[in-house]
Amino acid sequence: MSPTPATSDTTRTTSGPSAPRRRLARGTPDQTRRRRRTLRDATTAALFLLPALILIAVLRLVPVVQAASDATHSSLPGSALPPQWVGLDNFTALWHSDTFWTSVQQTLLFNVIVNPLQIAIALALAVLLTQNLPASGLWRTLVFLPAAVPMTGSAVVWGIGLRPDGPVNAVLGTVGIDQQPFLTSPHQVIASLILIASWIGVGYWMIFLIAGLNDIPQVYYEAARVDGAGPLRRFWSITLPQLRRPLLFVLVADTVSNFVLFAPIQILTNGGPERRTSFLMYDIFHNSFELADPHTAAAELLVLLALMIAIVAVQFRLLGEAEDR
Amino acid sequence: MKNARTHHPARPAATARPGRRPRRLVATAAAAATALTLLITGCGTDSSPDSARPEGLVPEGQLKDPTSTVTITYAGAAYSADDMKPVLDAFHKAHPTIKVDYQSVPFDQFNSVLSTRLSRRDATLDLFDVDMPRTDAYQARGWLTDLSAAFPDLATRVDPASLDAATNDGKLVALPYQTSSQLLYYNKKLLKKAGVSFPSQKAEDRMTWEQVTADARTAQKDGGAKWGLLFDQVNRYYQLQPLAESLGGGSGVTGKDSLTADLTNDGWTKAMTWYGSLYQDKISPRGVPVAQTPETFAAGDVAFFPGGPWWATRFTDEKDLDFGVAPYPYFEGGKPATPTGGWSLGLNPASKKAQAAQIFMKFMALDKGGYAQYMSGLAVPPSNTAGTETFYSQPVFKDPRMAGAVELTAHELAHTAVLRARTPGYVEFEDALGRAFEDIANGTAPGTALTSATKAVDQAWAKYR
Repeated sequence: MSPTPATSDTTRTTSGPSAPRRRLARGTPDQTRRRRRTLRDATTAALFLLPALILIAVLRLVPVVQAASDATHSSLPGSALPPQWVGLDNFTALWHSDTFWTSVQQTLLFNVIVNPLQIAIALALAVLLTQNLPASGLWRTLVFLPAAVPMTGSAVVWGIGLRPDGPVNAVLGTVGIDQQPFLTSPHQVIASLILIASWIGVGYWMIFLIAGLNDIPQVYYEAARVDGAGPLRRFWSITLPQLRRPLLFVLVADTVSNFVLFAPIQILTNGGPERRTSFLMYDIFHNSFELADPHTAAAELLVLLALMIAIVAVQFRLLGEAEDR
Repeated sequence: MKNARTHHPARPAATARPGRRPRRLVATAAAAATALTLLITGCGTDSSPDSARPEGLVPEGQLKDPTSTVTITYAGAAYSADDMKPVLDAFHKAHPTIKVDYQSVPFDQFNSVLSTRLSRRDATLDLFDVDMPRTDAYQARGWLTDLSAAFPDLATRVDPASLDAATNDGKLVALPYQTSSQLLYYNKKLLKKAGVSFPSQKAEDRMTWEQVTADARTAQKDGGAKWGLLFDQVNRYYQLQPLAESLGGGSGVTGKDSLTADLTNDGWTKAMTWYGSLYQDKISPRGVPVAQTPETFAAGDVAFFPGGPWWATRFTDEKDLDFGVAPYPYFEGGKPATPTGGWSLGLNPASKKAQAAQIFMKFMALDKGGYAQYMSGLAVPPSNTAGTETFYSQPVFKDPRMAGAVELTAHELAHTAVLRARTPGYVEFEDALGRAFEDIANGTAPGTALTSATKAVDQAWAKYR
């Protein structure tokens, strides 16, 4: 494991002026030594790489293989009897399951709205908080704070807040707005979850965008100002293009995290009302643990994986185009 | 934009490291995705083909305590660790060489905990609580042990409904220890203020749900009740099935193999239409989770609370809460029907300490009336007939506010109790119904909710057929 032998070897061969000459004189043994050194270097490299490779295998490859194996077997839910090979039956069952299609549809709907919205708000906040406002550090901290609260905690608090007889409705009542059902209504539940997820996420993504904004050289803005560009023009022509890379990072990472959003659903809605929040990630958990059917869950998981890979691939294409310019 | 970039070499990094970030992002995405995979597949099935039965089971007369200390693990959802402490203390005193490690699991998580541990043939779990209607489902999964030979003469020692619930295909597969019934609690202060007469505590003067609804409304209007009527288990089949049963809707399951959902008949539709109207008319509150309902009654906000007798200790603790109990109502023109069923003990077939576990099962369910004699605040009747006497002489029933509860419970268990549906697909059935109840409470049309529950159950049951 220790890199010491390789280092000392290097030191020895380059230590004196006579070294190259000696190597020339004794060609064959020197080649042997070099070969041995290459071998030793390779061994050292392998040893250094080994922990990472083991982790990749154990944490990434093995689970995928096992998911594929689980997805092609079936047994009575939770059964202690050995599962049977069923080929693609689990996928066929999913194809015919209304519950599954509702999950796919609602997952996509949620993500189509939540991701652009979160990024737009995070960007607006980032731009605002890099404008030399007084106490901007304080504002940034306040906006970032929800990201530092454990998600389960915020979910519970929001659950109480959004109860039909809860404090949010009390506040709405004082300004003359009728009581809203929020999480208990199939028409408002997605919007309520978007509110909760964004309250948590916006401050976090904002930090990345602030870092990106601070990276844009001021000279661009100065030059644009000299050319007579207004604030909107400067935003479209300098800020946005220069921010493309951090923005695309935020887009991909935010999409991934929203696709696997789980805690608020498990805590607040259990997939309801009318299965409107039965997102794929939640449904996978539900099938695997609550209905004791890991085979259906594994099949569903592979579908989610494929869906995410497809969407992230599209986003990378955008990233690639951005870098080509 | 292009100009800005080409004129200023200040950002060469942007083009100097093409692809590096994408690769890292791929890794991030892959990591997230595979972490999920791990999360799910980490608990995949991995079972050996042999269907082992634990060694050491003997007819109960031949049980012998071990000579050196044996620790058995018992996962329960019926009682908290505090409730169980006096029972375990008594057991440890009587059987010093057996130590029981009791692990209390919240009811909502119980099924997932059991499925993870039992489907992997985890020998570290010996005993577990079995929710009675799930007996057939657990047996179909291979989670239960045949106890027929171990406890041969139960018929004379436990009540018939409990014994029936623990029997599958003529075999005793679990040891019943607790059954249950329901009461209608009412807040005397709120009713008095509204000028509503108190309901009778006699079974023959049982109120109808229609009458309860009308009185609840009056209590809200004139008595200052925040809520007129609030069910204890707002989204659970256990408490809501009797509504449909009262109107002849049945258990919701039919068919020779009990794998056909029957939830859209007149009885179910009518019962659920009434249930939905409670929330529509603001007699019951939307969005209050099951765990918070008893506290709402204890706080004096609710006029009528159909709920478990197990809340009696909680409610009698409130010195200022003036309440009474009445029979569980029925629908006009229908028949009285009350919830029942409780808990049995299941023995893990993979257990390596079966005999020690069997000694504890016997102590818990049978010996001199079983566990009931050690629990001071117990308000749920034991299955064991010898234990019922202890049960009915408890202090909680001496509280004047609980007057009539003893006679009522005995009457309901003997005459009006309806068991929940028995089906190997009970887990999926209860799950789909729980969602339907919640949706109905939140305003979904009952017909729509029951139809979609039927569809979900039928699709989920395909694998059992």
